[in-house]
Amino acid sequence: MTAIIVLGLGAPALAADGVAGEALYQDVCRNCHGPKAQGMASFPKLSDKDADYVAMRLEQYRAGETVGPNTALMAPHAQDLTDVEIADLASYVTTAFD
Amino acid sequence: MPNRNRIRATDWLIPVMAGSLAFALPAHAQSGPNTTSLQHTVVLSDLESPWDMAFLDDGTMFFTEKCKGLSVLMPSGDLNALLGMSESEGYASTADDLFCEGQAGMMGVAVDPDFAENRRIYVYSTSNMSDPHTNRLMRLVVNDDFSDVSDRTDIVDDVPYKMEASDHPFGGPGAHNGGRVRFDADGALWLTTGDNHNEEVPQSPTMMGSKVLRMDTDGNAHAENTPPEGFDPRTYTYGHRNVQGIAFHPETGTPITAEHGPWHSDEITVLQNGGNAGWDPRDNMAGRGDCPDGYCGYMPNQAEGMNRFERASFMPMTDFETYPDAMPPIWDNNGWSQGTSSAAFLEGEQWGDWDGTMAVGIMGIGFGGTPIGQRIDVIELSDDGMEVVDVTEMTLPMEAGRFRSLVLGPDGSLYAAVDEGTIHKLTPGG
Repeated sequence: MTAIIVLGLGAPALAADGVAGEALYQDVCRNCHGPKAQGMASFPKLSDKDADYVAMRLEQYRAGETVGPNTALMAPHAQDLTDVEIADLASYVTTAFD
Repeated sequence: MPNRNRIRATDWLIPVMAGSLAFALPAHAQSGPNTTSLQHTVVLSDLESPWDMAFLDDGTMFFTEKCKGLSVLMPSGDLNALLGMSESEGYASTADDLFCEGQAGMMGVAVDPDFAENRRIYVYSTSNMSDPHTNRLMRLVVNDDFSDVSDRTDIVDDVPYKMEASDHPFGGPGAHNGGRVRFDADGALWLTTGDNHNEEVPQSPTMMGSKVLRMDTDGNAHAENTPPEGFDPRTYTYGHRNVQGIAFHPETGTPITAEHGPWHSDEITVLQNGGNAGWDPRDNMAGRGDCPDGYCGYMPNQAEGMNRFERASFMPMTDFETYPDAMPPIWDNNGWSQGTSSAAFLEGEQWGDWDGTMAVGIMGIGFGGTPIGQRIDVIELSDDGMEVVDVTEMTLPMEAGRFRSLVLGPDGSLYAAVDEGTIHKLTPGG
């Protein structure tokens, strides 16, 4: 059961599971964003972002919104993510590489 | 977890050949483990998107980082930062006009064959010196102790750069610059360029994107180039999409390119002097209607996955129907586009059965059911170098990555730069 934490940002956020986030990230996302979320080529760095920002972007991609030139690449990966997975990913990429 | 790169069964169907395809390339099964054992050394790590390398005979290695600049690794292990881009720190010299954006930045590097006499190297980078901005091929002189460069001369200053975002995948500014710089055995200087997501560039006789240029070291056209009438005389071939790999057959000297495809069909092509690679992404032609911002390069369904052969029939990488004399690719990556970006011949007895084969670096793209495919392929060519005989995926002694650059070093090892920030050395033998 995942606890609910209110961050004061409107929607409640889910407590993140770093291990699950790592598994997701290192299986798929690392291929473009890099093993340390450092960004590569034209794919942006994630480790310097806020978790809320990363989660918001993933939610936008999941919802089918166009968010910048790499939307076509991101949308297919985001469309199957659950709220829990988004929270796990956002937490992992923004805290694991400090 | 769910498989997010599922391959639909339909992706494996043998396509019904569209009328625009004059031939079908044989599909080569990518073999399993090879029998060549490779030793692995990390040459440099913690780099920022290393893009290319160039060697002197003593092992001195010049290398570029896309958003930082040019550096050199000495045989002693000393690392000297030579020419920084705008906002780079710690470099002996800085060029404030050099910048990075999206896929653009500092890319290819090559060493003059007469370096021992003239100390010259050549670097390709994006520059804001002119407006619209361009990609430039710079000639630089390295000082005696390899601590600085000077005498910058922009021998090519007119390779187009994408200034504005457009409605396409990877559609931000800076897309499709090509970027590889190489010398052939005869001392000619070669530069590969890209289409900027500009539908007019590939077939344009004067815009120097989507070309392979052959020049002398002053940037003048090679006397034996034979482009069609009206073309810029520096043109060796045209009608490309985005060439980032070029290598020369060790026996014949023939140039062979490795090129990024548009959601389908990465291509390896044996170049013909004056040849057309057959890429023409204009809309309202070849059976197509309007396309986003006039560029059909990823259509008919640019934002979603679809059968790669259907996509190829709508927007062929090489359009034989429009251009019957286009240069035929000798390899199309089994119809996939996975980020084919570099090529280098493996030469020397140490490579055993692979002596004379061509290594191709593939960065990997996970889109629309495409297997990501980060790897190095070893491609065996026929004796005349005109056909692919077999393709073997190199069994790597380290983790795969986004293989941006492959270069055969003077020690006979294969050096591989990955976007992740590492330059690897792969040495045959156990």
